[in-house]
Amino acid sequence: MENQSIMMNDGLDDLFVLVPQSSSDSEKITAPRYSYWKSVGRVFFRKKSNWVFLALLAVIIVMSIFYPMISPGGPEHNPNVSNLDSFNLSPINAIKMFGFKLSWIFGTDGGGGSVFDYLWTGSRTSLALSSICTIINMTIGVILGAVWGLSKTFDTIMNQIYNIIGNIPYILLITVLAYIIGTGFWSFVLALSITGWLGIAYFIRTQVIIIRDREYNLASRCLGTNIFTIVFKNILPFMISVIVTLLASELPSYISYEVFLSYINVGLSANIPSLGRMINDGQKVWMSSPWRFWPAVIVSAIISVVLYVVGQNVGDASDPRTHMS
Amino acid sequence: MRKYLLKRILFSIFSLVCIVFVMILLLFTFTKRDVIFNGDQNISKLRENDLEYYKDSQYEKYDYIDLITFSDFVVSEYGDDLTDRELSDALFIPNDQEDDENNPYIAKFSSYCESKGYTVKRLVADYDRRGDIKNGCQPYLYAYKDSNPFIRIGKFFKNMFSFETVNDVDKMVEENGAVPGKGYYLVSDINEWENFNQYWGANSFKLSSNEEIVSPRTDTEMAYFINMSITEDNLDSDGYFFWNIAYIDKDKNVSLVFENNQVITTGAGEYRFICYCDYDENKNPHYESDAAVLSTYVNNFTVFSRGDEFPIKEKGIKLIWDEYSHMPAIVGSGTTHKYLLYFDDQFPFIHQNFIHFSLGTSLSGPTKGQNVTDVIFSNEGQGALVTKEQQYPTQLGTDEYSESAYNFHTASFNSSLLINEQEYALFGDRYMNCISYYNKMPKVGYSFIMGIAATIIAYFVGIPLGILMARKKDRLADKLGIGYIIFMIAVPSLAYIYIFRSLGRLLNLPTSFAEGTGWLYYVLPVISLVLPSLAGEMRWVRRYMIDQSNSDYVKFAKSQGLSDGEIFTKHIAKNAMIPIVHGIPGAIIGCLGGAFITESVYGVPGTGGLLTTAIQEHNNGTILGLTFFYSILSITSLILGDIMLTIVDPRISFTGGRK
Repeated sequence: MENQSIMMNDGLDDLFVLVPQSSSDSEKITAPRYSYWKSVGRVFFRKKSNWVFLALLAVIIVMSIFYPMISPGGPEHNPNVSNLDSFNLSPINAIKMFGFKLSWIFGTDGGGGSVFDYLWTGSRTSLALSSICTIINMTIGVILGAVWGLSKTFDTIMNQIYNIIGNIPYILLITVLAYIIGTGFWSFVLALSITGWLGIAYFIRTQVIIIRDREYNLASRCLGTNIFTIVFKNILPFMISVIVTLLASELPSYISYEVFLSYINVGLSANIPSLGRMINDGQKVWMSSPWRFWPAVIVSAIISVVLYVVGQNVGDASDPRTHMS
Repeated sequence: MRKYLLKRILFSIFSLVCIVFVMILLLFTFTKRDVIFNGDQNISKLRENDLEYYKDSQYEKYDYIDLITFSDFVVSEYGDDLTDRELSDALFIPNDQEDDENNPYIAKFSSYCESKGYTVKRLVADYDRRGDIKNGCQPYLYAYKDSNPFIRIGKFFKNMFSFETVNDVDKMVEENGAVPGKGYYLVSDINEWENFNQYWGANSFKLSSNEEIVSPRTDTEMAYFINMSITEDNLDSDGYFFWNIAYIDKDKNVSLVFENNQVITTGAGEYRFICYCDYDENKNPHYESDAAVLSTYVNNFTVFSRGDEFPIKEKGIKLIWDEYSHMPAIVGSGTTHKYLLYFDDQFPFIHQNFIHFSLGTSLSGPTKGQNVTDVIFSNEGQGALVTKEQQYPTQLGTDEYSESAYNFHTASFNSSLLINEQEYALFGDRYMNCISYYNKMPKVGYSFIMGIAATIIAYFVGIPLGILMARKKDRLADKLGIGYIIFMIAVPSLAYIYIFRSLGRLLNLPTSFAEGTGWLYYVLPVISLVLPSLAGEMRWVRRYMIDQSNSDYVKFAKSQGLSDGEIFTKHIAKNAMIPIVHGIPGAIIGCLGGAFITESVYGVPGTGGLLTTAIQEHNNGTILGLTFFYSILSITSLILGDIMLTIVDPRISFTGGRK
């Protein structure tokens, strides 16, 4: 101990600055400023790779939103419908035939339409679909799941409902809904979100059960806090990192769903371009006309990877324990 | 625990009933029904009354409505008491409703239908100027009823279990219409050959009001039922009557369809036929039969003309020494199946026929008429027939052998009126409907073998890899693992299955089950199944391991001086495995359900595609049965998973007091 004090005394002049006594400052009580979301941002952007992923995501979103405005794709915007020579052209042949234009750098599809245009119109559909479905399902799922985990009567009822609805084949539900409300974009959103929240709610319920009996909640309940306040103030903030992680795998999963549903012919109707339809059409000819298959696979993979990684990293950053350093 | 389980099982049964109810609502109440006509060519070919009746009869075929035709009603209610002449009068439907008084049966039909809640539908005939019936405009009289969901659900569970009794054969014979002295099912007002010829000469098979349209076998065909009497005069010099039709019995089961449209029957009598006509663009009407071909004579087939031809000597059940398996077996006489309990070398080695479990009947597609349980579990029709040297029942005890694909243990009673005489002689009795041996496994077999292989590999490789990733967190191994997991999540399964298939092709691995058999064919599908579930295992094991490694007991163990390796394998891994164990029963049982994309890409004849195919074919019976089957699987795996949880972790209790 003595040695230490001597060492400190030695460096005193370098390390310390004399502060004059101020009576007004000594009246203030301060702690370092802490803003939760600011800290999340700080931790998130500390990782350099996140900048790259965000930039990629931005490029894809900008392309999906603005490129179809300039040059829309899909069967309704195909100038070559009656031009048999233009069907199924490789990129080189397409550029030879039509001259160099962004639309032709990925060749043409089976009906002479531009693959590049279709790609972005399709990813616009797929991005819109997955984000809308995710927002709807996450909102309903998280709120209901939290209540489900807390209330025991609700738990017994919801467990039975989960047993029943969880076992109705998803494809069948979507097929029947397609008969009833059609196969347009919004009907498809409805079909995907009519039971899609159930799995999320079940997941949240399990998480809530794990933390609902912690002491601080017990205390809160003893003090007579009502259930909604407990849900919104005590439990949900605790689970932000879990929810964000879930969000990260939810978003890309709808793109996969869409591909699968197109594969079994219960997807979106044929005149709506989507990545799923493109992959499904492309897999039939992927050996002979790879330009019709790979762009869609690669773009959907990039979207999924970026969304997943960014989501995971936001999830990590949203855990306050990572904010200390 | 036992009480808890019992409660849980009761709740599960309740859930199952609810699932069936919701499914029935989805399939029958909310569905737009006319989608079944998408791509049906008959819709554009038929017109007016024919079209209307065809639609309703199709609805009946898909089980949307119950339908009784006037002729069915008259024959089943009064047929036994009427002579042929009276019957044909009774079946006449006057065009003007005011003439109905002449036919008292119409009033009886209407009141019967109304009392049962049916809606009577009458389509009046339309004539052209010459007084002939216009094309497609003959009269129809029938009644239909839409079953309500509660009746359907009752039916589903009532038919689920059936028991064999010694009176089965009596019932079967009676249902076949083979009442001694009366002959069998007949509706016909064409009693004479000349008459028939005249209609036929008019190139039309719209013979009478009581014909029905049945499913054609190909797109260019039209098929009809024709009822007719054959008198001695119609027979040829050898006593045979030939036509390009096949015989069907009362239940509309086609007993025999000659692929080359040739021969039919012997002897005079009253028969009901199914007639297939080819589409010919140059003729009008387009459908015309090839002709009454008086050609080949097949002597193997004969007609048991009347109901007294079903010799069941004595009814009963007894224990015998089974010559096929050289084991004891229980056989019945008068029961549907001959062998009620027997052993053999087919999985599961002991078989019974006392109780039958049924998940409903397939209503359309290639499996039409089959029991859904058979579609899943039986290998009938999977691959090619396997013939081997076997002894028919009458050959037992002798040195004689015959080439046959029959599995004689599956013999059931043949109540058809038309049987193969040679086989009848070999069997010695009417227990002669056998299921054949096929060289491929049942659908569920393929899915299960591939699924179980994939599950075992995924667990045995995924768990160590997950542990490794957790131990080397943020180091190279962890980063590689995460890269792989992200790849599997990000790339749509369809895309990577195709990628792996093409890689497999480069290595000269077989890529389609349709090409042959052998264990090499399993390699690629199993890899396609392993890769995603491996990623899942790795992801969750890593997650749980890392969560556990922050616990207090780990810090305590460290402070006690335990090595990292010891802490990981003995303490963390044990605790992290608890949630993993919960999923094991589900993973194993889930294998029975099959994998749709993998199976369809590699052409595996498994269960994966059953549900999607059934949905596309509007095969409501199969959809309902399959959903029930899958629900049982998933509910069982949830319960088993919870039981496993309490076994591996004694701290978990479902019966403990309220917290």
